[in-house]
Formats: sequence, structure tokens, C-alpha cells
Amino acid sequence: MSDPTVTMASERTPEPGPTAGAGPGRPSRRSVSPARQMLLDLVTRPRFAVPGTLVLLLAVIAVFPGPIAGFFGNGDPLACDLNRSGLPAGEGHPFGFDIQGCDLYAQVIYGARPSITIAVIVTVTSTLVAMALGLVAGYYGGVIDTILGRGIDLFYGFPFMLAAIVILTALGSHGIWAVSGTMAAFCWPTMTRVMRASVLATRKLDYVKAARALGASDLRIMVRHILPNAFAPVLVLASLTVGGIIAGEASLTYLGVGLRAPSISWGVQLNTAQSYFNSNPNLLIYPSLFLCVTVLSFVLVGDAVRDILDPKSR
Amino acid sequence: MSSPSDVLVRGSGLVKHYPTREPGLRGAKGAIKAVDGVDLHLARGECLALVGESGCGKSTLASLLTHLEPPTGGSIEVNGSRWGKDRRTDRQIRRQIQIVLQDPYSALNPRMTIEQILTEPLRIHSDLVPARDHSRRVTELLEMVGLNDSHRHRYPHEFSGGQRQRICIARALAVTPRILVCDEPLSALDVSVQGQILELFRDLRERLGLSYVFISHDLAVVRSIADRVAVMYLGRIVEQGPTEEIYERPRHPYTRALLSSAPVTDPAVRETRERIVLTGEVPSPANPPSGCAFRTRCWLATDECATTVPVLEPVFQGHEAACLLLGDH
Repeated sequence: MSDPTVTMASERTPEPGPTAGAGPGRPSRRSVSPARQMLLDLVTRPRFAVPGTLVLLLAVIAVFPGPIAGFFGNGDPLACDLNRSGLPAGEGHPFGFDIQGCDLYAQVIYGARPSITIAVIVTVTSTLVAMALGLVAGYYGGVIDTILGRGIDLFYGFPFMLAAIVILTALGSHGIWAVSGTMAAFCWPTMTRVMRASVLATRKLDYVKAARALGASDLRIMVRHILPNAFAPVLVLASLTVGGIIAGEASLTYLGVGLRAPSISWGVQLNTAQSYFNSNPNLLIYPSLFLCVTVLSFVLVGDAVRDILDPKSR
Repeated sequence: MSSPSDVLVRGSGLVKHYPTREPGLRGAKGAIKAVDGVDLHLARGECLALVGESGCGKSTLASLLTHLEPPTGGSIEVNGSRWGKDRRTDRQIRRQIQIVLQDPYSALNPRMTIEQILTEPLRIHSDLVPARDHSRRVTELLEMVGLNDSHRHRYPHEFSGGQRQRICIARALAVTPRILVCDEPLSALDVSVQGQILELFRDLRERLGLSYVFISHDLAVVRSIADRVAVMYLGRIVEQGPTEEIYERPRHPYTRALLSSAPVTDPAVRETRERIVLTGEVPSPANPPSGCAFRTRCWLATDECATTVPVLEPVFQGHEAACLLLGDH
């Protein structure tokens, strides 16, 4: 990841500003905020537009799996018939059938929902936690910062997969919330560190000094001045994290500690498929294809966001 | 000496030490003595300039005067109220003394429009202007600093350095202060723009009756705006007095060296003037020399300078210098 502290330097690029006391004939245009300008730059880039469209499509699939699964006429993933177990692709069943005789296409489409739900829950909660803690630690420093820093070190001490397996096994629950909670517990420390570093860099800037001289409260300084200017690196990290979380969730599920049947998810499908790879390779290929494309799209979106926020790559 | 009621700001025995520690468990503790015993006062309507080399404590003194940092020792009174007494007093003092910072490129939040930037002080001090008049007040502030009202919806990155500095000044003026502490407000600007901003400072002083603590290392600028000059060296004031008096008859060797280092445009004067070039570096404020801090670079230093700390002594009306050898040269 590139140095997060340089992000704001993009604001310094000299731009031909309006001259003092601009002439009367000048049309008064409404200015574009730096954030909006960035969004515009982002959307018009092919490197963002392509994976961005895919992500959007996946989001639609996750929210409305029904109509999309029913595209070929057999949209119910639980309409299974053991007589059709493992049958290859046929009319109205483009991906064939799984071992339970369910339509694989419908299964794969419905599998997007848990993956994306977990990814969103984990990313949003860890980002919010990281922003709050990083802001407080970076702004106040001192004892709070030290305690938080050592706490984060503690989390770094655990290997993620091992710890997640232990926790999920101990919890005994394998729902979306248990899996999300476990993953979020190991996701926030890195983000908090990045946020803290970014806050430390922003805190020293002159506009923070000026606000303090005006008598602004700590809360106002943190929310109005530091947060909007310090959260860009965390945003980048968050968008890069989404892909990792989806892959991580699939791994945990595949290992048998994440979601379990009758939940429908790519990890569950891959777990089942491993035993039948020789006879039914399509059971492995389709879910992993969707998984790969999803992870790749999110990572590419994250990459594009990072590029746009990093002035050096412009 | 001015009467107490005329004194707007009075700093007594100001000290600011930044603690340092060598690495390691048993590392020696020390302190960077950024400001080391400064007394100063600012009269109503006066412009006091602080001059000196980089690292002499000018900016730290500005932070102390505006209470961005608490002093390690000493106290500051603004219009009779002491900084740091309680939150309510501090809030009231903040309305009286404001700061204009050096770099207008980092002094404006890039994510706020000019209107938001100028409205913020009014929101913080909500009893100053009723909310329905905020918009009118922003117009007033923009006009005061020579900017067009149509700029209010723009973002800082759309402005030039000089315009940004005008916005910074407008923001400071939003709370109707009596005193502006200007921490090198011109040094980040182009020369042509410097003149315009300096003119603005003069104009505002006249119109609003402001008093300035003006920090600069541009001696020509100081001469043109300041009523009184205080020369700092290693955290102390070594000489202070009326501007013309200091420029015409500097008494402290450091002031003489400083003034002689300023470029002169008149070739005739350039030929004849005294040119003192100091050797060596400014000593570290973590470990200043004993006695007179300037003695390591002073061409007049004697043995006595190493043992006795000179204090400011009056040499002429309002003119004071801290040198043991005042009588000798």
C-alpha cells in the first residue's frame, strides 16, 4: 500500500484560481467539491468502470437473487430432485445439477448473498470501529494511544485462520453473524493503525491549529476537520479488504467452520464439490469461477480507489 | 512605559520547554528551551514585530500567545484576563486574540467551502452573530479582506496563495478580535502578493483598530509596518525598542549583525555600510551556551560573557538591550 500520509498532498497542486475581485462579467459557477471531483474521475476510468459494473451486478444478485436465478426458468435453488443428482447441463439448467439434484445455476446465484452480506458487514463494522478508535488514539495520543496500540499488537499475534477456526468452533454457531463477528474481530486492528497514522499526519496541519485558536471543541475538530481529511487511506484499505473477506469466508466455510448446509453459499458448494471433482467437475468450476470474479472485481475497485486518491499515480 | 490600561497583551516570564529523552531506558532527560524567559507587552493599536533567525522561538511564542500550547512557565494576560484560568475565560480570550498562520496552503480545510470556513467561527461563538445573519456576515468578511462575495461557494484549492491568505485573515477576523498574531504571514507568498497582503494588514489596522504581533524575518517588511521591534535569539528577547531607533541605532551585537545581513538596494549605501558576517551555527536550544547565549558567535565576547546572563537594560526611551558590553561599543 502506498504511503497514506501523502494522500492530501493532491490538494496542493496549483490550479489557476479566479483572480482577486473577479471581473463583473464572470459567470458565477458553483464549484465542484474535491470529493465530488474525485468521484467523477473515478467513474470515468475504465479500470474502475469495468470491475465497478461487475460489483454493482453482484450487489443486485445479492439483493434480488430470485429473478436472476429464474432467468433460465428454474430459479428455486431448493427445488431438488435426487433423480437428477449430478446430471450435466441441459435445457433450462445451464450449469447442470448438484449431488442433491438441485439446479446448480440457482444455487450459485443464491450463494452470492451470504458472501457479499458477510463482506459488507465485516468491512463496514471494522471501518467504523477503526475510524472511531484511530481518531481518538491519533488525536489524544498518550495513554489511550498506548493501550490501544498494545491491544492491536495482541491481535497481530494470532494467525488469523487458526484463531478464526478456534473461535468459530468454540462458539458452536455458524450463522452469518457469528462468521461476520469473528472476521471483523481480526479486521479492525490493521485499519485502526492506518487510521491512526493518517490522523497523526492531519492533526498537525495548520487548519487544525486555526480551528483550535478559534476555540473549536475537540469533537468539532475531530469530526469536521480531521475525519474528512484522514479517512481516505482507510477507505482504500476497506475497499481492498472486501475481496479478502469474501475469500476468507469461503475458506472458513470450506474448512467446515463457517456457514453450513442447508445455508447456500459458495464455500459450502466448494466443500461438497471436492469429493466429486472427478465425476462432476462443474460443481467445483462454477462456484469458484463466481468466487474468483467477485474477489477480483472488489480488489480491482479497491485498486482504482487507491489510484485516484494517490496523487503520485495521477 | 505605557499605562496598564493601554496594555492589551502582557506576557511575563514566559518559558516553553519541550522535554526530550535520549533513547534507551536510562537515557538522559533534557529539554529544548524554545522560549526561555520572555517578558513582552503589546499596547492598544500597536504593531510589535518579532524578528530573529529560524528556530529562535518566534513561532513558539506565537503559539503561547494564542494558547495553542500552554507555557511551561509564566503567564499571559489578554486585556486583563489570564489564559488558562478556566474554559469560559479562555473562550472569551479567543475572541480577542487570533492567529494568522504562515502557510495558507495548509491553513484551510480542503473539504470545506469558503462559506463553511467563515461560518465556522460564528458557529463556535454562537452568541456573536445570530444564525440568520451568518450569510450577511460572510459577505462582510469577504469584502473586508478584498474578496468577491461570489467566491463563497468555492473550495480553497481554487484560489491562489494570496487569496487563501486573505481567507485566513477573514476567518481570524470573524470573531472580531482586537489582536492578530501573524506568524510569518507573508513568507509563503510571492513578492508581489506580499505587498498586497501587507497593505491589507495596514488597512485593517486602520479600519478595525487592530493590534498586531507580527512575526517575520523580512527586515524591510518589519520596518514598514512595525511600531516596535523585539529581536529574539535562542528563546530570549535580546533587544527591543521603537522600530526606527532599533534600525538606526542597534545596540546588541546580534541585532547589528542581523540588520547588516539585510540586502540593500542603494549601491552607494551598499559600498559604505558595515557588513557583519556571523560565523558558526546557532547553538542547539537543547543545550544553550552558559552566560550570554550569543557569546559563541559574538566578535566582542569576553570571559565575563560566559558566566553572567545579561538582562534587558534600558539604553534610550523604550529601547532595551541585553548585553554586558553595552557601555563599551
